Amino acid sequence: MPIGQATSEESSNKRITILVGLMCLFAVIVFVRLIYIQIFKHQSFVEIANAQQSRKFVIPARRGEIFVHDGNNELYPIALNQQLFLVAADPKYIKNSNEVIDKLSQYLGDTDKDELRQKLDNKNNRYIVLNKKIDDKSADEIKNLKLAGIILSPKDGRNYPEGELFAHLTGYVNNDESGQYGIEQFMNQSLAGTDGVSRAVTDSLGVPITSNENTLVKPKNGSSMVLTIDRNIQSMAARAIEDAVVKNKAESGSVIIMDPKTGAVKAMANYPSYDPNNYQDVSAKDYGRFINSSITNLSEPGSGFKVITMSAALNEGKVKPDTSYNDTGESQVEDRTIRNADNKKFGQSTMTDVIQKSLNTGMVFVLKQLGTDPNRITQKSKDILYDYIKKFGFGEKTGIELAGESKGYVKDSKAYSVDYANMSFGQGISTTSLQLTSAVSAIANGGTLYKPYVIDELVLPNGEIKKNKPSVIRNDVLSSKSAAEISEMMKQVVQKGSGWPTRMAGYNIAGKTGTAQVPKADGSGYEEKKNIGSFVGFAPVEDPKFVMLVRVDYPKVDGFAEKTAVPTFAEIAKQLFIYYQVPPNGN
Amino acid sequence: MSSAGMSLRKNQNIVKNKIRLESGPVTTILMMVSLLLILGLMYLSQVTKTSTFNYKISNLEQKQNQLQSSKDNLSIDAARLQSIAEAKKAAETAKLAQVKTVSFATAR
Repeated sequence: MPIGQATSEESSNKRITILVGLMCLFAVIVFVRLIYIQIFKHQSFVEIANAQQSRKFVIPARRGEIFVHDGNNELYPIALNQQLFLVAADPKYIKNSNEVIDKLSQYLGDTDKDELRQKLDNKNNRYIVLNKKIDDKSADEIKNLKLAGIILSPKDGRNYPEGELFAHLTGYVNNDESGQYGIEQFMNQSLAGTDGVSRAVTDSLGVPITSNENTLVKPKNGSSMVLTIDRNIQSMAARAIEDAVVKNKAESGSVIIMDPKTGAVKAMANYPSYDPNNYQDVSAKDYGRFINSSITNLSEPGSGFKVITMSAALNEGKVKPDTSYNDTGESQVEDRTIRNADNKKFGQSTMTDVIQKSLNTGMVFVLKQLGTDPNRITQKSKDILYDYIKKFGFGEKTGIELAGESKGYVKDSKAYSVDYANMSFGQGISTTSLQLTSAVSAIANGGTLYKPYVIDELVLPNGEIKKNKPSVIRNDVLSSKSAAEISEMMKQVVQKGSGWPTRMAGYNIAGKTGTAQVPKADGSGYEEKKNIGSFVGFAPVEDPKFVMLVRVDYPKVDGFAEKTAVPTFAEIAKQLFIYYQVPPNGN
Repeated sequence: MSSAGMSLRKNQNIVKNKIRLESGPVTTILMMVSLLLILGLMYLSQVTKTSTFNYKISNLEQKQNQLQSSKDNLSIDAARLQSIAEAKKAAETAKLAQVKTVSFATAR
């Protein structure tokens, strides 16, 4: 073989070997890369692919609705669902901002048009919300305008057909679909239900397509609720308290009406109120309107609390309705002198007189009787009164199903005697209107403290109805004899005392007025020209159908509660007798 | 009958002629392709059917949502018309007088 030929063959073999080697190397590189991608990076690529090829769709659960009934057990909705639309703009596609603003002006509410024009002219903005709540009729109108750059997105909304009437009971649902105040907040979880989720493979446009990989978790709709509130009674109460506030030039007022035999709240109205359909219209200085003052606002109960102290003494057998003392118009406790509200003295007075004439000195006398020495306030006096205050439910939340309830403040029995002397007639203690109404219910029904409640029925999404039963907190607050005695004393308040405007032929009404002073914010005594007038009572005394509390805050007319709260109580009571068809007893 | 003719008759039931179906590569490929085509068509028809149903379901769901929305709106209108505020307005328009005295029948 010639040498030249051998060299050429060797060279060719070498080149082939190198080529094969390179191909093998390439194959190995590809193989290693495949292993890396398919095994080690499997999960992350699956996630990327899923993100590109499938989408998660939230299926909103339907929020439960809220109903009330009337005397004939007819149901009326007070909170319903409604499909609303959010209107937004994409300035990039808006050529003439003036035209858009002009055409949409009626749907923009109070929006500052100059500010909006500036925003729309800024093409760097890509999303400007114009209105978060447009109904479907307006949405159709906007659609028909065919404006480029205007976006309409459907969203679930809430409608309150009764407007202001039940605002403090329902609260409202905000733009984040979260309940605020009232039942909407307190029962938010139960009302909202749980959203469902659908994960579906989508086409290139993001439209879901049929696939075995699609998954669906169905939404769980929220529960609906039927309240204990009677819409007609609520209406009477709301109208009456509005009239009272206007007539007395007061700042605010409230009415609570409760069934004393169950604790079911029949009406809870506060004035001023707000329209939950347009809650965003309430200005920052009026945010207090959102608050249900019947359960949130704390105040000194004033003389209305005297019935609690007197009940304690009657139940302990320390006094009787005809027990008497000499009212000198003042009573010395430690270094303080306690006087009657009108600075008068009444001489020899019975316990019935003490309640009927609302004598502060009489309450100090009663407090002294509770202890071991009837001539002074002892530790035992304070212990017993504190025990009864707690038994009546003060200093604790009642547990009503409404957001924002306060528990109040009660000084414990280690406090000074003068503090307890003040507490005996309703000063130096803070309570909510609901607590006082609930406590007086216990007197009305013969000594049982019920938990106040507003939810009568829970209607589960499957249609099952869960009836709320009355809940007894304790049935030994008072003996029926003591309850009857204090009721009789309260009857005298109406017959002969400050509750006279509620006197009605043929009806026995029991009640107690209270004109509470308002402590100064800095704690240095009381405001001179501010008071809270209240009247708490029940009727008919022999078989109570209702307990009612009327409160008028900071009236600008002269006089005590008999001029502010009592006439309102009388007006509502008169209507309630007709509504409940309670015939006069002939006396 | 000759002896040759006899032997032919004798063997008549002994010999069986087998029919052999043989296909060439072209026939096999054609059959495979046809089979694949049929299966493909069946698959396509099922997918189309499912998609149609899916579309129908989606349409029905949309309709259901629209009906639900209309029902909600009607409920709201009905509730608003029955509201206390409306009733009060109607009473004022009709100039209804408020009840002032109520008499109860007494049992003898």
